Amino acid sequence: MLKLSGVTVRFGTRAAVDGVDLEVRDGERLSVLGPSGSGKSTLLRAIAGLEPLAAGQILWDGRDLAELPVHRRGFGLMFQDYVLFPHLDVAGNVRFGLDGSGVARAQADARVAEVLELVGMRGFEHRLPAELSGGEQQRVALARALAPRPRLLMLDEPLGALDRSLRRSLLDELAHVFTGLGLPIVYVTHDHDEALAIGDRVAVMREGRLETVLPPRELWLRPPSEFVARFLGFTNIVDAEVTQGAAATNLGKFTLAEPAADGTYRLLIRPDAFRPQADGPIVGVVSSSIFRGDHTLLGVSVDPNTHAHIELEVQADWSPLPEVGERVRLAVDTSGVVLLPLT
Amino acid sequence: MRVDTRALLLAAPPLAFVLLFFAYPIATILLRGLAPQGVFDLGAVLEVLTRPFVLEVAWFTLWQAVVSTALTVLVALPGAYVFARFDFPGRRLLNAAALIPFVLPTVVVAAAFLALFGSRSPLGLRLEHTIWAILIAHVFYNYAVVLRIVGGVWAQLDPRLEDGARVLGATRWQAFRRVTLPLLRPAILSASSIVFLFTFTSFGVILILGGPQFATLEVEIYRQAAQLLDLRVAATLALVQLLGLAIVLLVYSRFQERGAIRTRPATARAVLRRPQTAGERAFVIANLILLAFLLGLPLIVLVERSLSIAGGYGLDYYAALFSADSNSALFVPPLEAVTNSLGFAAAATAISTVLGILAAQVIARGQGAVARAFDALLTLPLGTSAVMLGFGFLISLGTLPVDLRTSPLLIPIAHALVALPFVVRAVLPVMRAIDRRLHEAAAVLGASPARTWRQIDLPIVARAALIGAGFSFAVSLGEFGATLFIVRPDTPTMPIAIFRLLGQPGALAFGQAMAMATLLMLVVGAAIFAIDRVRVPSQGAL
Repeated sequence: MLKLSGVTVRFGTRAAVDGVDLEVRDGERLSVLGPSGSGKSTLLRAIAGLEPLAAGQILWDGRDLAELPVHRRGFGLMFQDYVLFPHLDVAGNVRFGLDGSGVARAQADARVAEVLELVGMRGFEHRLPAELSGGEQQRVALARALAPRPRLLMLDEPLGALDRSLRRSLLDELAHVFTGLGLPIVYVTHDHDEALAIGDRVAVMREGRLETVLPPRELWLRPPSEFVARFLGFTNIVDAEVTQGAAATNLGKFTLAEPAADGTYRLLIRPDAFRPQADGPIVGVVSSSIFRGDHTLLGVSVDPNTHAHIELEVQADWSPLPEVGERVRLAVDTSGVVLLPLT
Repeated sequence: MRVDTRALLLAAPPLAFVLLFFAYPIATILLRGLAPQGVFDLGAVLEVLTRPFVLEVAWFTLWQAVVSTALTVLVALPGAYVFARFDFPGRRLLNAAALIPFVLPTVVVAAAFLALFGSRSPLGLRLEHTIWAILIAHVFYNYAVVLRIVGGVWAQLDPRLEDGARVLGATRWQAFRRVTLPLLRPAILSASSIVFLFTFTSFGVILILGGPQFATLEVEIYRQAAQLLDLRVAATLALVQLLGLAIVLLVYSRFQERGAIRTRPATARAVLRRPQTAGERAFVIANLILLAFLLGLPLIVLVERSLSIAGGYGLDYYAALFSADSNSALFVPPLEAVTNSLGFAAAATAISTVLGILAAQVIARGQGAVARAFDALLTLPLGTSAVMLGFGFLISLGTLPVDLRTSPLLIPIAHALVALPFVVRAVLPVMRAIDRRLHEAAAVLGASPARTWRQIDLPIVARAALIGAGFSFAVSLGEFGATLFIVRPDTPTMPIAIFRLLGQPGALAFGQAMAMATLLMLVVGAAIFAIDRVRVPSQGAL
């Protein structure tokens, strides 16, 4: 089990990672999500031993790793743009971690074949990295990281350098490969789709600090802060005054699904919580309409006469769909209203 | 702290080498010049400096360098234009061929021009022992410098800049003078500085082609130290030379710093075009003919003379290289010079390559002022003349606890010193381009720092190191100035053998000199050809 306590990494006076406490349990897949510059890659490098700690401890099964140099930690790290050795062919790259670890030649050959099989790259053994496509390089990098049987696998934006359609298919593949491995995984990404798809739990980082760690479903349905909500792509957030289980906002009054103490909050309305209703409390004009396949994303400009001006994102899966410029009246499902603490 | 010790261990061998075999000899010269009797004596320095012949030599050194530089730029500038702008059959081949003179040993160049302009010239051109022979040889030698540096920048200039000027009403000449020339100025100044540096320290060409009436500082240092045995005068002349070199290097680095004006580089495909008008065709053809005559003729005549025997052509002079009896001037069969040269070059290459890789590693991984100072120290031998080095060896190495002056390693050491900057220059860019994360990736995969260096860094820089080694080999084969000071009579190198044979009377000695020079040209050519075959992987692949 990996345990981080108070881990801090400084670049000059700036703390890139600031007092992070975190656990990765045996066999657990942890996603680390955050915007660029939030310190998630630095955290990964610190675990690998590539960045010295300014404070805190990194423990593996209760043992402090401070004195253990990078090359003795036995952790696998897959770099953002793979960093394949340009002078070695695919087989040479994959077996690099096996040579020098005392593995017999025949065994190493077998292992190389095995991991290349796993990532679907058999037959590419004698290609040089420069001759591979981005997706192929990604697979080789994964095979290289897996070959020495690391006790922990870390991936730094493994799909970041690929184009969108490739990302989708490789994400499914990665999830599939990981399921069969059973080793603990730390998966760093700035893409919430990836983080939610891969992780048993998702850690969200913000400016070097750990904002939250939650299972993906819980994170998605009840984001614990406005920062997390916005990072997950939610935009319908307004001020709210809670009294006796009801929240008063510029959009009207909402009853809350769960009890909350009286006070000032921010309030998130999930875009799929709206439905059309002839006497709905929210009055607005459709300002944009984007077809997304299984639903249509409407921009609704809330009537400035009735409420303060607000642009809402409404996920519409009903029909008939209103046209752009049409007036709509909307109601909100209580289950789609999330109270966010003020930060 | 561990990292620092490692860096220190890597830095120690090249640092010790340069300090012992470069800094110490040069410092000894300075001391000898400024304090001939062990105490600083400016009066004595001034006494030597004001001797009429010293002023004469200094003045000649200066003006021949200025005129040679101006002449080279004047002749090579149109050539640079032709290669930068026009596409024509054989362009790439000719562009490569134009580089040949630059890599040829001075002795071969001097021998070639002696063949062309001397009393045995097949064309009846008698320019031997005139300033013209010297100037033309200097243009021959340095044409490639201007062609490469200025042509390189010129090819990157977007031709539409000139088109723009033309549209605005400028004539072709005005467009060139007001747009192109200012943009080329940094490149021209930079190339001129290098040509000036080379001609200011010209040694072999002046010694062999100029005859007794011409002497640069470099030649005079040699004469005073090796022939008249007046070390004090030699050291004082060396002071003047060092001062001159320091000024040139200072001016050069100024030009470098100010750098080129940033323009959007044009791609070669868009720039190169076939000459279209009759005028353009004539211009291109005239330049190519000039190139062929200037660069081709001396070398062709050299080979022709080496084969030309009484009443026809034959390999007699080559055959004569195998026998000792007719060559009293050499003490040994001339062919032994070939084996000597190859042996010295192999040793020099080994030394400079190993030290160069270590040094490049230190500079690439180091940071800030220390790495820059180290870089500068290793580059200095490039700016110091070979004769200075040889002279420094002569007067300093006797004072070391181990007397290296009789060691067979002395010549390889001197050659390695001259070659070291080439190795560092070849390896450093590749080493710097190595992604730091490759080291991290290797470490994460369980490789120790030592294994990482062995299996990541070394293989990646291997090709560049091979190129550096090839240059070392070529430099060592052709080295003349320093070798002349420290060579022992019974182990001549090829350039020394050529020099001695040229000093001998008679058709046989001359023919043998031509034959030996041809051989040297071929060996160096083969080394350069081999380098050209080794491709450094592009930076993008790293």
